[in-house]
Amino acid sequence: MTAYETVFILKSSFSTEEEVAAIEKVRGVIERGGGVVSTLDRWDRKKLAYPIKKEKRGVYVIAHYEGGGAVISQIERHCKLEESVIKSMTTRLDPGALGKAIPNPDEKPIFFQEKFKGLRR
Amino acid sequence: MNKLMRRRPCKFCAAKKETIGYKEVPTLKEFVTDRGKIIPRRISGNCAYHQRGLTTAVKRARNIALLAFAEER
Repeated sequence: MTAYETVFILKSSFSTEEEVAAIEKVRGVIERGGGVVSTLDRWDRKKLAYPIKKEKRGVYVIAHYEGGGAVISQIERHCKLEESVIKSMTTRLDPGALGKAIPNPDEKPIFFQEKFKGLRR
Repeated sequence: MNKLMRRRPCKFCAAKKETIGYKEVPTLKEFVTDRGKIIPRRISGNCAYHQRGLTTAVKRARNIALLAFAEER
Protein backbone atom coordinates (compact mmCIF):
# COMPACT_ATOMS: atom_id res chain seq x y z
CA MET A 1 0.00 0.00 0.00
CA THR A 2 1.29 3.39 -0.99
CA ALA A 3 -0.06 6.77 -0.01
CA TYR A 4 -1.25 9.00 -2.81
CA GLU A 5 -2.62 12.47 -3.16
CA THR A 6 -4.92 13.41 -5.99
CA VAL A 7 -6.07 16.93 -6.80
CA PHE A 8 -9.20 17.32 -8.89
CA ILE A 9 -10.52 20.47 -10.46
CA LEU A 10 -14.30 20.48 -10.74
CA LYS A 11 -16.38 22.80 -12.86
CA SER A 12 -17.10 25.94 -10.91
CA SER A 13 -20.64 26.31 -12.25
CA PHE A 14 -21.82 23.55 -9.92
CA SER A 15 -24.21 23.99 -7.04
CA THR A 16 -23.18 22.72 -3.62
CA GLU A 17 -25.22 19.53 -4.02
CA GLU A 18 -23.70 18.75 -7.40
CA GLU A 19 -20.27 19.33 -5.95
CA VAL A 20 -20.91 16.95 -3.07
CA ALA A 21 -22.25 14.37 -5.51
CA ALA A 22 -19.12 14.64 -7.67
CA ILE A 23 -16.88 14.29 -4.61
CA GLU A 24 -18.79 11.25 -3.37
CA LYS A 25 -18.46 9.66 -6.79
CA VAL A 26 -14.69 9.92 -6.47
CA ARG A 27 -14.86 8.36 -3.01
CA GLY A 28 -16.81 5.46 -4.52
CA VAL A 29 -14.18 4.96 -7.22
CA ILE A 30 -11.35 4.83 -4.69
CA GLU A 31 -13.14 2.42 -2.41
CA ARG A 32 -14.22 0.14 -5.24
CA GLY A 33 -10.61 0.05 -6.40
CA GLY A 34 -9.54 -1.23 -3.00
CA GLY A 35 -8.16 2.04 -1.69
CA VAL A 36 -8.56 3.44 1.80
CA VAL A 37 -9.64 7.08 1.81
CA SER A 38 -7.93 9.16 4.45
CA THR A 39 -9.31 12.57 3.56
CA LEU A 40 -11.39 13.83 0.67
CA ASP A 41 -12.19 17.50 0.95
CA ARG A 42 -13.05 20.56 -1.03
CA TRP A 43 -10.11 22.94 -0.93
CA ASP A 44 -11.28 26.15 -2.52
CA ARG A 45 -12.84 27.75 -5.52
CA LYS A 46 -9.94 29.28 -7.37
CA LYS A 47 -9.16 31.17 -10.50
CA LEU A 48 -7.18 28.90 -12.79
CA ALA A 49 -3.78 30.16 -13.85
CA TYR A 50 -4.73 29.31 -17.42
CA PRO A 51 -8.05 28.22 -18.92
CA ILE A 52 -8.71 24.48 -19.06
CA LYS A 53 -11.52 23.22 -21.28
CA LYS A 54 -12.76 26.80 -21.63
CA GLU A 55 -13.17 27.09 -17.85
CA LYS A 56 -11.58 30.05 -16.11
CA ARG A 57 -12.38 29.02 -12.56
CA GLY A 58 -12.49 25.72 -10.81
CA VAL A 59 -13.19 24.05 -7.50
CA TYR A 60 -10.15 22.27 -6.12
CA VAL A 61 -10.73 18.99 -4.32
CA ILE A 62 -7.92 17.07 -2.60
CA ALA A 63 -7.98 13.37 -1.82
CA HIS A 64 -5.50 11.51 0.35
CA TYR A 65 -5.70 7.74 0.25
CA GLU A 66 -3.72 4.56 0.37
CA GLY A 67 -3.90 1.82 -2.18
CA GLY A 68 -2.14 -0.19 -4.81
CA GLY A 69 -1.29 1.03 -8.27
CA ALA A 70 -4.58 -0.27 -9.65
CA VAL A 71 -6.52 2.45 -7.83
CA ILE A 72 -4.61 5.11 -9.73
CA SER A 73 -5.61 3.83 -13.11
CA GLN A 74 -9.22 3.60 -11.92
CA ILE A 75 -9.18 7.20 -10.76
CA GLU A 76 -7.50 8.50 -13.85
CA ARG A 77 -10.03 6.71 -16.00
CA HIS A 78 -12.86 8.17 -13.93
CA CYS A 79 -11.46 11.68 -14.31
CA LYS A 80 -11.17 11.35 -18.06
CA LEU A 81 -14.73 10.11 -18.47
CA GLU A 82 -16.38 12.32 -15.89
CA GLU A 83 -17.51 15.63 -17.36
CA SER A 84 -17.48 17.41 -14.01
CA VAL A 85 -13.71 16.93 -13.56
CA ILE A 86 -11.76 19.28 -15.78
CA LYS A 87 -8.29 18.23 -14.63
CA SER A 88 -6.65 15.97 -12.09
CA MET A 89 -3.19 15.12 -10.89
CA THR A 90 -1.98 12.25 -8.72
CA THR A 91 1.26 12.37 -6.79
CA ARG A 92 2.90 9.92 -4.46
CA LEU A 93 2.61 11.09 -0.89
CA ASP A 94 4.89 10.77 2.08
CA PRO A 95 2.90 8.48 4.43
CA GLY A 96 3.57 10.91 7.27
CA ALA A 97 1.61 13.61 5.44
CA LEU A 98 -1.55 11.52 5.08
CA GLY A 99 -4.60 13.46 6.12
CA LYS A 100 -2.99 16.91 6.09
CA ALA A 101 -4.45 17.76 2.73
CA ILE A 102 -5.82 21.27 2.82
CA PRO A 103 -3.22 24.03 3.10
CA ASN A 104 -3.73 26.81 5.60
CA PRO A 105 -5.85 29.47 3.82
CA ASP A 106 -3.99 32.46 5.24
CA GLU A 107 -0.60 30.99 4.56
CA LYS A 108 2.02 33.61 3.95
CA PRO A 109 5.22 33.16 1.99
CA ILE A 110 7.85 32.05 4.45
CA PHE A 111 10.38 34.50 3.15
CA PHE A 112 9.81 38.16 2.82
CA GLN A 113 12.67 38.75 0.53
CA GLU A 114 13.20 41.67 -1.69
CA LYS A 115 11.88 40.72 -5.12
CA PHE A 116 14.70 39.82 -7.47
CA LYS A 117 15.16 43.18 -9.09
CA GLY A 118 16.07 43.91 -12.63
CA LEU A 119 15.53 40.35 -13.74
CA ARG A 120 13.88 40.32 -17.13
CA ARG A 121 13.27 36.97 -18.63
CA MET B 1 34.77 41.11 -3.56
CA ASN B 2 31.92 42.96 -5.16
CA LYS B 3 28.69 43.20 -3.17
CA LEU B 4 26.69 41.63 -6.01
CA MET B 5 28.91 38.60 -6.11
CA ARG B 6 28.49 37.69 -2.46
CA ARG B 7 27.13 34.21 -1.94
CA ARG B 8 23.51 34.33 -0.82
CA PRO B 9 22.37 31.77 1.71
CA CYS B 10 19.80 29.25 0.59
CA LYS B 11 16.39 30.61 1.66
CA PHE B 12 15.03 27.18 2.47
CA CYS B 13 18.02 26.14 4.55
CA ALA B 14 17.82 29.43 6.43
CA ALA B 15 14.13 28.79 7.16
CA LYS B 16 14.91 25.14 8.08
CA LYS B 17 12.34 23.96 5.60
CA GLU B 18 12.96 20.47 4.33
CA THR B 19 10.37 20.13 1.58
CA ILE B 20 8.33 22.41 -0.63
CA GLY B 21 4.86 21.36 -1.65
CA TYR B 22 3.15 22.33 -4.89
CA LYS B 23 0.20 23.77 -2.98
CA GLU B 24 2.31 26.42 -1.28
CA VAL B 25 1.61 28.91 -4.02
CA PRO B 26 2.62 32.14 -2.22
CA THR B 27 6.04 30.67 -1.48
CA LEU B 28 6.46 29.28 -4.99
CA LYS B 29 5.59 32.65 -6.49
CA GLU B 30 8.63 34.18 -4.82
CA PHE B 31 10.87 31.93 -6.90
CA VAL B 32 9.21 32.63 -10.20
CA THR B 33 9.63 35.75 -12.38
CA ASP B 34 6.59 37.82 -13.31
CA ARG B 35 6.73 36.01 -16.63
CA GLY B 36 6.34 32.70 -14.85
CA LYS B 37 9.85 31.36 -15.26
CA ILE B 38 11.72 29.67 -12.44
CA ILE B 39 14.45 31.92 -11.05
CA PRO B 40 17.84 30.26 -11.51
CA ARG B 41 19.88 29.09 -8.58
CA ARG B 42 22.68 31.53 -9.26
CA ILE B 43 20.24 34.41 -8.73
CA SER B 44 18.12 33.07 -5.89
CA GLY B 45 21.06 31.49 -4.08
CA ASN B 46 19.21 28.28 -3.29
CA CYS B 47 21.21 25.15 -2.64
CA ALA B 48 21.05 22.34 -5.19
CA TYR B 49 18.86 20.16 -2.98
CA HIS B 50 16.20 22.78 -2.41
CA GLN B 51 16.29 24.09 -5.96
CA ARG B 52 15.56 20.58 -7.18
CA GLY B 53 12.57 20.30 -4.84
CA LEU B 54 11.38 23.73 -5.84
CA THR B 55 11.54 22.88 -9.53
CA THR B 56 9.33 19.81 -9.07
CA ALA B 57 6.90 21.81 -6.95
CA VAL B 58 6.63 24.60 -9.54
CA LYS B 59 6.12 22.09 -12.35
CA ARG B 60 3.40 20.30 -10.42
CA ALA B 61 1.71 23.57 -9.58
CA ARG B 62 1.75 24.48 -13.26
CA ASN B 63 0.22 21.18 -14.22
CA ILE B 64 -2.76 21.74 -11.96
CA ALA B 65 -3.19 25.42 -12.94
CA LEU B 66 -2.03 26.92 -9.66
CA LEU B 67 0.81 28.63 -11.51
CA ALA B 68 0.90 29.74 -15.11
CA PHE B 69 3.25 28.23 -17.67
CA ALA B 70 3.76 31.68 -19.16
CA GLU B 71 2.36 34.97 -17.97
CA GLU B 72 1.24 37.60 -20.45
CA ARG B 73 2.93 40.93 -20.22
